Amino acid sequence: MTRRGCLAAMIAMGLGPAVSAPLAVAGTPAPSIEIGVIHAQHTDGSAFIDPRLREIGQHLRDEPFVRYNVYRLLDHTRLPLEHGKPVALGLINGRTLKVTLVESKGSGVDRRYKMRAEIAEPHQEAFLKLLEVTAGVDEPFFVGGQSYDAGTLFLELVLRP
Amino acid sequence: MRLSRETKIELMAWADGELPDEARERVTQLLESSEDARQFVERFRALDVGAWASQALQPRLSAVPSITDAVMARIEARERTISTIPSRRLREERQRMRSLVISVTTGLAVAASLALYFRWDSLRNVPPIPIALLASSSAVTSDSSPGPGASPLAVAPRGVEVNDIDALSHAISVFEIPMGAAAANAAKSTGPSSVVIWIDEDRNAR
Repeated sequence: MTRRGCLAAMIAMGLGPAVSAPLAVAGTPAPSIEIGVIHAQHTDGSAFIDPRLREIGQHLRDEPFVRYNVYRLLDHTRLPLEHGKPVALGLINGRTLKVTLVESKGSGVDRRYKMRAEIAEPHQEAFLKLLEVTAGVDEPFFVGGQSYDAGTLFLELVLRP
Repeated sequence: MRLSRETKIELMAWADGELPDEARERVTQLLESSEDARQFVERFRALDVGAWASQALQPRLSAVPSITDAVMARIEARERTISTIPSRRLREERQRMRSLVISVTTGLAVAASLALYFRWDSLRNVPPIPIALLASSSAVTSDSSPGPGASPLAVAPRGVEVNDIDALSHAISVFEIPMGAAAANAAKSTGPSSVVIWIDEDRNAR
């Protein structure tokens, strides 16, 4: 079995945090996760982009943002992360977003973080069972597709130092 | 002396007393001069008439069914030949077509296997494509989530990498977008990029 296979097996057995925690560089503070909950709609009226959504404003011609012309920031939260400890945020649609910092590598501007996200739904199987992403600080990514109020929700996630 | 069939008939008629006078005189003369004729009449009188007649005429009677059989056999043989020729040709034609189809199928299968082998070989030896090198707003759609430990779906030297996604029964699409300053000049962007992971609300949409 490869090292990667061993690691995957140990994570599957619930040993993930115990294994991944030592991989973090000792003495380096863990980043925070900034979560923006954005409501997007397509209307026949004029377009509107919340001025706080600078990142989305740059992608209005890109898929899937091009599908909508109204973007409103519904919630904005910053949660401190610790290796192996999930943080949770209740979403406006009743689901819960959980984010876990799994691993960090490198140093300085090249430091990168592996994190896991999950969107749980009460009394049902998870909407998003697992999303594992590696990113540096100030590198946002989005999770879209959840229906909400005649539109959709975009979650903007970005690590902050 | 061998007796002809007509003579035998006359002898039998004579023995039964059914010959006209002129013929009776001629047969009488024959019986006086021919031992074979006398023995024939004696055997005729001694034997059962029906069985004897059947035996006496056996060669001629048996010839009839033989000829009939022979003719019928010839007719049937010809019919078989006539009916066999097209089906044989058809069978040969079908066999040729089957061979051709098998050859073409085998050829295609070998070609596909070779293509798959070389493609797989090249994929094994090439690192994952940096997401930043993909066209702007390109989408990777996944009908099934990669398993644990799978290779990253997208890798950038700097930028967001998607390592694993599992949304169970929801269809997943991954859109790559240029990030930060690169977004302002997306057409020329080779810099770090980000992703939008799109998960369909509808279950079983995949």
